[in-house]
Amino acid sequence: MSVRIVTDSTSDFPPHIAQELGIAVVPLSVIFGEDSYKEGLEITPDLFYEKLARSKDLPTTSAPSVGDFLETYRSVLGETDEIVSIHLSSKLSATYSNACQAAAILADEGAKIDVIDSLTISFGMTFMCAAAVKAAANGATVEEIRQIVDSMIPRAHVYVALDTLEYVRRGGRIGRARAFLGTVLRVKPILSFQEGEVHPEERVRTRALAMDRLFQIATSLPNIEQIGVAYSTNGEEAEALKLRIEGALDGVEVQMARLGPVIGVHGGPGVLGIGILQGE
Amino acid sequence: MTDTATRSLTGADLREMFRAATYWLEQNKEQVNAINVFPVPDGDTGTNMHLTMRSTMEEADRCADPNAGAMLASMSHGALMGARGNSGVILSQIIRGIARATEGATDVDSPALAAGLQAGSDTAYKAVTKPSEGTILTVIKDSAAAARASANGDVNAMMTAVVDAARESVARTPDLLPVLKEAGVVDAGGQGLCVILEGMLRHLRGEPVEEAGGGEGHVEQEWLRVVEQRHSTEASPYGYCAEVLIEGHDLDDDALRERVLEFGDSVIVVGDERLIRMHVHTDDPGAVLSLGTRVGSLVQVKIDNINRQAERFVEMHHERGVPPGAAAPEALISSVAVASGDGLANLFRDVGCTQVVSGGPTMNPSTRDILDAVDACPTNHVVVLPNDKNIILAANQAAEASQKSVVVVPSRSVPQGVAALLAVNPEDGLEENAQAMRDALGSVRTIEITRAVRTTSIGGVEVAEGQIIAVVDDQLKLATETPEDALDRALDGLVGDTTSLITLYHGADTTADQATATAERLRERFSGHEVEVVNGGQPHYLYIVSLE
Repeated sequence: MSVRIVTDSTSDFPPHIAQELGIAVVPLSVIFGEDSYKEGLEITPDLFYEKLARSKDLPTTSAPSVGDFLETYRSVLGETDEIVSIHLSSKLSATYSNACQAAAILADEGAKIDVIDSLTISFGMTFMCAAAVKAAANGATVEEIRQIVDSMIPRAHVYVALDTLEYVRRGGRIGRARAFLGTVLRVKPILSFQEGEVHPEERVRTRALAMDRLFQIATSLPNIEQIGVAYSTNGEEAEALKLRIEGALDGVEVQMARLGPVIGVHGGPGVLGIGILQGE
Repeated sequence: MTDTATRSLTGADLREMFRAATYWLEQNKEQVNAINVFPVPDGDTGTNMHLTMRSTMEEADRCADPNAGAMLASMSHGALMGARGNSGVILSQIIRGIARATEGATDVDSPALAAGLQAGSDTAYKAVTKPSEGTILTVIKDSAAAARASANGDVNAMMTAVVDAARESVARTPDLLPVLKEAGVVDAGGQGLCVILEGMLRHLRGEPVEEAGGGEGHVEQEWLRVVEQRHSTEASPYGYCAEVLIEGHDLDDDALRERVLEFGDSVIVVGDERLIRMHVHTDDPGAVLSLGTRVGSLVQVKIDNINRQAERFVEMHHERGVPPGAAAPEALISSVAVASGDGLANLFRDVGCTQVVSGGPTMNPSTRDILDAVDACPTNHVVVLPNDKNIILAANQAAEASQKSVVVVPSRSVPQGVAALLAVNPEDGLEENAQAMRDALGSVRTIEITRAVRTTSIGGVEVAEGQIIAVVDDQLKLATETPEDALDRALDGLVGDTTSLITLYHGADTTADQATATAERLRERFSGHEVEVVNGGQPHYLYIVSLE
């Protein structure tokens, strides 16, 4: 029986791909007032961004509970007794910690579950999960898969250009970027994830410049193995950026993903991001 | 008056000669201001040069060494630190050249003075990246040549020749610089230098140079004597010595003295209705500054720790100390920006600027003001943003004078300064950041809307005093009657495909409602562009607009 891969919904796998790869996705939730919606299951990105635009109060997010993880792990354990579970940065969410607790409970019942803190989000995790699935299909053990994923963490980079600072500021997941961003002028910050935390990269004042900078970042990193563009509400811009990058990087296919509601709560509408995996 | 021959000048002679030149310039500074080519209300050449000379004389009056070389060295230091505006900086470089050429001399005779003027000319030319003829540079060059040709023993005779040459040189500046010819004026900086040389000659000839208003120079001397006496005889229970120079209209020294007495002791308030100097020992120097800004504008501010200041007065020398706060800093670089107006100062701090220098009465801070801000930064690596073409030289001079590693990123407007600051990466070093900031300067275009302070013609644009003018990237674009019309027309053809954001920084003389209405009109006219309004609170400029 091969090792099964579990991740959470912030990996932004389109549902049909996750299904195709046999990846089990544990959803985080967004909460509007009294109503909680499981990302990917109970609310689509389109519906979410529409609600976000209309909502007076900022929605909040919540990590899957230990119980949610137990449930998913148990359903997968019907088919295998070994799991690698890859999750968004432990510095941004309780997801990783809850997964670890569930894994510990099941370890007592004889299951072997290795929970990995990806220290990133979205495309960073997508790359890792896809590699883990591939290794598992080739018969890799939990230890071998952990080694592969660990080796990818320093090579996986995510940059996002925000359209507004409002959401990231209200959401509080801003870390060291806070002082950098200011309050008087409207700026379009470009942020990255470094060692699991939101990290300020640059501040530009126009969307066009933000796009230019993402393009420059995408084409200046050496040894690109995989690259993807992710967006929240602006598919056309994402498509334009994808084509531009493909034009500059010969023979590299640029993947495309939609940022889910949970990232949308913290980034707001108009987020454009790139994920890059460098080769070893 | 009889012209008696003068063989040589001692330190005291030089000081009085420079003092006379300072008075004479003060009497004539409005006339120099009036011939500035650019009709914008900041950077008045005559005022800037006079403030530079005043700082020169402050140091001269502190110099206890009777030798000419030492006196000129002190004056050079005072000029360098007090230099404001491009003409002030060049003037300070001229004095510096003179001081270098006469180093160690007990007195100077006419050949020595001629050599000094030549060295002053050479030094001034070197201070400017692209020396332009038809300016103060040409005037010092011609003056120095005349000095060398007539350095035959009598200083008076030589200075007569120097002043004649300077006048002729000034008269020729429109032939060398077309922009002067079009405006129908001579070069203001050159004229300012000519006035200074005339003042020196008048002193040598015994002609009067006392300015209206009762001898501010005597005030300065008396001031230093009294302050020094207070410091040497009184032990103060207060922590700080605050000294401010306030410029304004209808200033009332008696009323101010009453107010200042509430702050502490050792109170001295002297001056006239236009200029007042205050000194007080206090525990709340901030309150003194606030009082100063309520009645006028602060030209100079000195806040000293009392103990340190006592030492300084005993030693009477002016070497620059080690930068304060030697502890290892956390950030790698700091930044200093020049900005006038509370809103702009707040904005610059908000985007990460460490120290904001206000421009003072002419909106041109002195080298010392910039240097103090650099020294107050917690890091050894500092970037300076002058945000005005007329401040770049003073910033360069401050960078040179500082013991820190300082790079001047030559921003010529507020929008350029903001763009540069946004490009800062706090984790990069000085050179990388300076490069990124320089690159960012070209990413914005600037429109400045202000009121013309004189009637002139420049670049084919006829301007009448009091009209509203639009300056686009330092070029005078048009003159009209309302700020709104000026802005609308300045924007013609400027907002292209690559522009997506228009930011309006409205000045102290523009209300928030006016700015909002203007922004609304722009949104209608340029649909698809973002228009942002920021309360800059800057003096003189009704709007500063950035396009990016």
